[in-house]
Amino acid sequence: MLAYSGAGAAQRSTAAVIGITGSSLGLLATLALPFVSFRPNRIVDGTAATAIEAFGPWGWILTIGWLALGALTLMPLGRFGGLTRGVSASVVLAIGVGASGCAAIDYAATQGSVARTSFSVAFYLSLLGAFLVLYAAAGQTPYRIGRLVIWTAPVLLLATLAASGVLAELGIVREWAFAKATFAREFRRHMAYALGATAGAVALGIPFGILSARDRRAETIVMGALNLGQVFPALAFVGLMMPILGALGDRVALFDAIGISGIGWAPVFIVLLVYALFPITRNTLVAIRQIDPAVLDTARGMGMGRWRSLAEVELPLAFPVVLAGIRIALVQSTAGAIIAAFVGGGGLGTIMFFGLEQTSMDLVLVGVLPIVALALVFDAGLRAVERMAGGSGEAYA
Amino acid sequence: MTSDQGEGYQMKRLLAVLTMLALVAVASACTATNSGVDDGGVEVTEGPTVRVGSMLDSEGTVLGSMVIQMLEANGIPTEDRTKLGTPDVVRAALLEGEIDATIDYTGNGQYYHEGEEGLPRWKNAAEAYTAIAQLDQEIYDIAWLAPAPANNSEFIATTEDLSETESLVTMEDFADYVNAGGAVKLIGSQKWVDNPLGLKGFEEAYGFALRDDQLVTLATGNTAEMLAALARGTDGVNFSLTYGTDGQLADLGLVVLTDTKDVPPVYEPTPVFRGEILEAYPQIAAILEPVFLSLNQSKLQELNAKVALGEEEPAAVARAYLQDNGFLE
Repeated sequence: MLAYSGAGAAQRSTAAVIGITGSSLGLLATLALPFVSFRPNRIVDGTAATAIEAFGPWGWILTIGWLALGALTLMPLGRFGGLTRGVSASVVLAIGVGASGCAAIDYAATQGSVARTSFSVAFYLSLLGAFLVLYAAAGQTPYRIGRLVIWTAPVLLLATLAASGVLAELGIVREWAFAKATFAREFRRHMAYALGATAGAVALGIPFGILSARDRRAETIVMGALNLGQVFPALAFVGLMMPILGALGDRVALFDAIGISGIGWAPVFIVLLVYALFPITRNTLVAIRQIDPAVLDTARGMGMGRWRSLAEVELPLAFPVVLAGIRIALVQSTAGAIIAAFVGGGGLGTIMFFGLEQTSMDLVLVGVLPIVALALVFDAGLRAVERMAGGSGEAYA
Repeated sequence: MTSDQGEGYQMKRLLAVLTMLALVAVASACTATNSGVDDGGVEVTEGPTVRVGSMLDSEGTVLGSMVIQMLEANGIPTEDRTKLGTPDVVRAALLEGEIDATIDYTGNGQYYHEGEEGLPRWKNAAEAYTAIAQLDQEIYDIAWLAPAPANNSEFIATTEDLSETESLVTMEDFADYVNAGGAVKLIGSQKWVDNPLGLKGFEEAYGFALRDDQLVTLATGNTAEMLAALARGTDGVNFSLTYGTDGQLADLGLVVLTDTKDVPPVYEPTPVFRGEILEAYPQIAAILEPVFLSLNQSKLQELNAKVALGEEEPAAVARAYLQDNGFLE
């Protein structure tokens, strides 16, 4: 992250370089590479078209927009410079998306409801370019409210476009319409896997970490076992758990009663838990071990017992690093939860794999984009918590 | 790090702990609301909720949705567990009682019981149905209801272009083409390649043999991927496994090579239920029978094409069919 406070000349020029990189990327991609592709239906190959081929005059407007954005990043615009550049980047992005939506409507009018208009590589590069410009613009904006406007503007503009119905015939929106009946349920399940496995790993991993920090033999056993769990491919691991849990569920009445069987949530939860344990346990271990022995001596000197020292000195000092471990575990579990689709556990992986089996990349994206968004939100949220907690666990991330 | 960082630091830490607690609370709330029971029915009868599963493919999901919609319309509560996973997972889920019903294919029965794989009785529609219905009933108390009269069997497809230039119409033509050294890259599922009634059966019946480097084998039997690879010529694929009810062949410009010797087993889609559910709702067999009897090969092709080409989602395709044919209002 760029430091917002005390923006020096060096930071200003870094932001300018990021901004000009972003706008050049958007401009070159829009001019040279296919922006959208048109297919008569979702399974046949289509024709790809650049923005100018596909959008006519709007393609030129888009190109001019990127040029203007590049000019804005070079001009010194004073204290509202960041805000101007950020909002302009959002407008350029919205023009690209809106023009794609219009092209999709025109294409569907000639081809019928099975026609698919999908974003191509130039769109995704433009997205990256716009993100870089926004990022630089936020760095150049000294006010919290200004940064808020810069980051909410693209979301609001895209939401307005979506609400106006311009995007209705885009491939990804058509596929979303098919998936939305089950989307809320799969999304909830996916969240439950990610958060549940992480919560379980916090409950187990922190005690394991403390134990390992105190006792070398415990460290060998705990970290050895977790390392072993880490190298198992998720798919093989979940396949291994299925017969084991199935047999347990059949033989132990309690397991059967709480729904543990070889199919469904149980194998997914256990596999994600084992993966999530590793970063949390390791970070707890490292954080406690690196505490200055003089601090512990002082605690002892003040008459603190082992437990009091742990609760009042060691854990508070270790907290930021442990938190970094929790963040890694949560992001990893969010991505990992797609394996649930293989064992009847549902989740967003179901939408993704149905898309893969139907060879519909737009449907794959309907499953994948929310996973990416969730991971980013979790990551940003816990980073904010880490900053609140004072220390930084970055070094152990 | 030192322990002397003042009051502001304490406050921040407290805030951080509270945020973590909130996160855990959200996690448990998510798990609590994670029931997923479909409560669309109007006059729900007393009795167990029927969890209807299906494979993660278009036909399974369409037929599974039909079962759900017909049961709901007759006041039987259901839970939608369609798109459950691979065929192995769905079968295991049914045996373990994780789901109560699914759609399965009569010919799959040869893989479910020891010593059945490749036996000739799986090539006869009536015999195959009787065999799996009896075996599953005796061993697992699982009932196979009336199957659809549509053979979703395994054939070999190629592109219209190749079929014309090399005049490939029947499997005999294919055998001649292979034996004359024609270029072949055939994509199929591992199970089909290894089965004595699959590719091996074709090789024996028509007198040809493919080398390993002429085969691309996939772990799953989903032909949507295979046919897309064939239509696009991915990695030089020019022949593919296809099922009798695949609906997208015409739109992809593909043709099926005619099997003149009835080599492959018969795969008729059938609703399969756990015994205790049929005891609780003995009316289910009569509710589903007319629906499945109405589904012949060309109708299934039509329904599958709608899903595969992206016209409608599977549940909507199922509802439209049931309404158009008077099974639902």
